[in-house]
Amino acid sequence: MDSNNNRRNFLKTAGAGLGGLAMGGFLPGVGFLSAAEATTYADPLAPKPPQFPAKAKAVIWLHMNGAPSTLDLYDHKPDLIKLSGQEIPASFLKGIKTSTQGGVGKLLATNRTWKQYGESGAWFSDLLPNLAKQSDKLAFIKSSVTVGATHNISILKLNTGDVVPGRPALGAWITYALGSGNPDLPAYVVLSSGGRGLEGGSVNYSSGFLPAVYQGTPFRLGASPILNLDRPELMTAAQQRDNLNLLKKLNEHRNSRYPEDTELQARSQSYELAYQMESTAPEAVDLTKESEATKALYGIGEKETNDYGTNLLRARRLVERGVRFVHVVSGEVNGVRDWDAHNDIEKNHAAQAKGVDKPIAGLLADLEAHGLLESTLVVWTSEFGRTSYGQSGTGRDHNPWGYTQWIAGGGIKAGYTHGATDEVGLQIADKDTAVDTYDLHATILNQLGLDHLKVTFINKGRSERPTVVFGKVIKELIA
Amino acid sequence: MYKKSVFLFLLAFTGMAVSAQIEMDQDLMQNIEDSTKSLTSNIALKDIKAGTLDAKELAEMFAKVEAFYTQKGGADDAVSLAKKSRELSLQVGQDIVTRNFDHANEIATTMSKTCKTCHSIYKKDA
Repeated sequence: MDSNNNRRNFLKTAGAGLGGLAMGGFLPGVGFLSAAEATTYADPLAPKPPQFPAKAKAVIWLHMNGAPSTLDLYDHKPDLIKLSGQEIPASFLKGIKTSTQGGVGKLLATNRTWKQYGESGAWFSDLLPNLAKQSDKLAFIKSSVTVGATHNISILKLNTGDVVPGRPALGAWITYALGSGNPDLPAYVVLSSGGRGLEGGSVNYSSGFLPAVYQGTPFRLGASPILNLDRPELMTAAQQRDNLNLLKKLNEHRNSRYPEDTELQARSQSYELAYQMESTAPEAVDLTKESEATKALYGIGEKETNDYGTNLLRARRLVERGVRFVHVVSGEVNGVRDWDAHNDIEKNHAAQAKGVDKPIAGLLADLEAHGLLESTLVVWTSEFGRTSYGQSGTGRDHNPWGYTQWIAGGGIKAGYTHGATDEVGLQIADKDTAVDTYDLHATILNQLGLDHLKVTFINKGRSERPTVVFGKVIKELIA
Repeated sequence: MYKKSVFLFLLAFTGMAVSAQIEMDQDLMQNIEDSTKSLTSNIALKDIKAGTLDAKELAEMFAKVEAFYTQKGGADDAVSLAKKSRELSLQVGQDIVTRNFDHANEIATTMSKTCKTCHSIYKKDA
């Protein structure tokens, strides 16, 4: 027996697993493990303790695909209404490059009516009447910034912290650091709602350089969320178990020769997970036992909200069952494929807002009713916002310089608004309040009991972390 | 290597004395980015030797940026941010030597953010 095996056996027999490795310098976050070691020593999805007491156990990541104009949802700007139709004063353009698409049009106010809601007095437009009633659960980040001018680049940065593929998504880092909360379900699930889908595809929920076992698992809409999950009709349960046992032995034999092959390890793990999920996954996403009132809360059964509402109710059920990170991508509504309103923003946002307003309001109310909101972070996010000046006469261009996102639950200070945009809503008003995607990630990790500076992984000799070389916890957002 | 490190360290302190022919190109910015990533890694790995070297090299490179914008004129923000970055990189170096890795990590992150702030103002030049 070689020294590596001795060490491995010692750790296993000591019942130490990854916890024992922490004593030797490894912790999720301090992780001095190579990709191969991370999947060899113990079950890589075994639950791991947070680095400090956590406020949240799970994240529901609501990605508004295509980038909504938060100027038309939350960021009420009377001056924009007053100046609509005029050229934007040069002072508002200072320090930004506006060469995304089509140049700078005249300032544009849409046909919105605005009202303040709740004790916080947060502004909502008429596009979000249901969500407005949940206003006191939300903490707004009105000084959101990012980089990039195209969807695929900025979506990648939103999910992985970098503008080029190859880094792990936030959900993968969280799964790596905390393990799975339910061995019978994937720890990281992606729910898409049709339409354009995620530009860039699976790199947005990839494990990157982390072991492949931490990547996100896409669930489809419909009764069978995972393709080919059901056991073939002509095979008995015993036959299937025998087949899997043989496959496992063969894979372990192969893996002993190539311990650095995390793809094979992930595949082996996925066979077992799939076997377990044959019964658990359909149950987890089966809404037949939910009451009609609950379904109605999410807008299930209504044309515009059925698919997204179904995904959000599934998200609640998944979180309830220990899934760590549920990434929900908004989808097509009434023939409008996403929020990307370069023209006809009235039609686009009326459809898209209709599609998400009731389901998200229902999700927040339902999480609270189930006692899950305090331990679940609900993050309403997008790759960027949209400009206060118009494009094509009826639309808005991309805006990475100042837009709104919000977080609810999970120990976040409900009713608080962080930062602001300028008078016309184009750039953030105070650069010191800027919240970049790295800062959002750092804050989410903090609520999960993880220090973003200490969630690390050795990749090719270099220590990597979720926030690359950036990131700051926005302490003002924490209750 | 040691002599080179000392030289770079001293050069960082005397950044304003960099040649009047100073040039700043994409390579310099790329080198700063690479060194910043290396520094971040070496802090996490608690590699004192490599981390100190990264910090010194960064101080030297930020001195070049500072000198470039001073010479160019009309870029007070860039001069100020480059100076701040140079000072932060020196602080990181000191924290690494004293094994104060947590503080080094925080300061290095602030330094990265300072770079980003500068790029947001001078992206046409960056």
